[in-house]
Amino acid sequence: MIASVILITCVVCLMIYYKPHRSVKNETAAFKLTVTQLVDAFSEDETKANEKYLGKVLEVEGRLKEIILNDSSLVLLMGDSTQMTGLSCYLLRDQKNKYTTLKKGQPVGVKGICNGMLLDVVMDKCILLSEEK
Amino acid sequence: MKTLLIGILFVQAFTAASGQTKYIDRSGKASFFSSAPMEDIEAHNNEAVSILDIQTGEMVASMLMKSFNFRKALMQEHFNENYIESDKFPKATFKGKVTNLDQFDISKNGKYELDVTGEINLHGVTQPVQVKAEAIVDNGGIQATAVFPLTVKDFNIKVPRLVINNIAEEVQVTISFNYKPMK
Repeated sequence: MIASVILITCVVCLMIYYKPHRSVKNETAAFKLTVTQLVDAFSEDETKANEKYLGKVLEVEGRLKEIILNDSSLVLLMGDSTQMTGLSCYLLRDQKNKYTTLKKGQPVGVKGICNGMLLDVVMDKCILLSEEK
Repeated sequence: MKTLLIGILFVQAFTAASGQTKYIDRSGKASFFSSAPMEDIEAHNNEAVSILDIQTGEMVASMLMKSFNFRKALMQEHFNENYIESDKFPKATFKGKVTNLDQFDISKNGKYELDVTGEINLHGVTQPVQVKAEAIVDNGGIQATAVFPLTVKDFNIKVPRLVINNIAEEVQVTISFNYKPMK
């Protein structure tokens, strides 16, 4: 009896200690919105936008402005090309084969975790939503 | 002397013509390493943003706390919720200046040592910093790296007594930017 309690406690502790990272794929989005809506929210009131979106899984749609590929990351810049601020989406590594068909100016949908705003609003662990849409 | 003058004029004309004195990196790397008796903690952020003006030497950099990735999800949670309080203080920023620009030449490939002074704002606290950065110029791009220590206490980051053996008082910070001319 005591042994089994100890064993269960240990297992639970280990599960907490080694709990897995969040998976964007399996989480449902807390908000679905357009890049413009998201960027506007942050430009108007960053503190309020942080309270609402920080750490949440978002599904965002908008136009692709630029693709940046380097050794460490693959970034999609989205938004209105006439405006300074947009959305930077850092894609998950396994998305690499999907981005090659993307073209500047085309509408794209991404799902990822909102981390806040620097020059752009930043989302990471992003996955591309089906391109047929 | 004459060639030097012509050289300077040429460089100036070149930079003026292309209008490029500002350099940017949107996916800079920042990492920190804490070595303590109980465990080593390491986290990486590949989403740091920085702009460097090679004419004035002015430099800004910022990064989001939630963009730091840890090997263990639990560590990441503790970092965000208990120590860095990323909901309250979502980003860290640096504002400063390269003070020895006279020794830097963007038109000449090679290795340069830059003196950078400025202020870091982290966890709602601003502290002065002075670091030496290594910059490698390669065909118009600048790869800059700096390694420096930060003291956890300086930024009002409280570590509970219970885990004091798990977190070092001083963490080693590595920052690396791969600057390209701003479009």
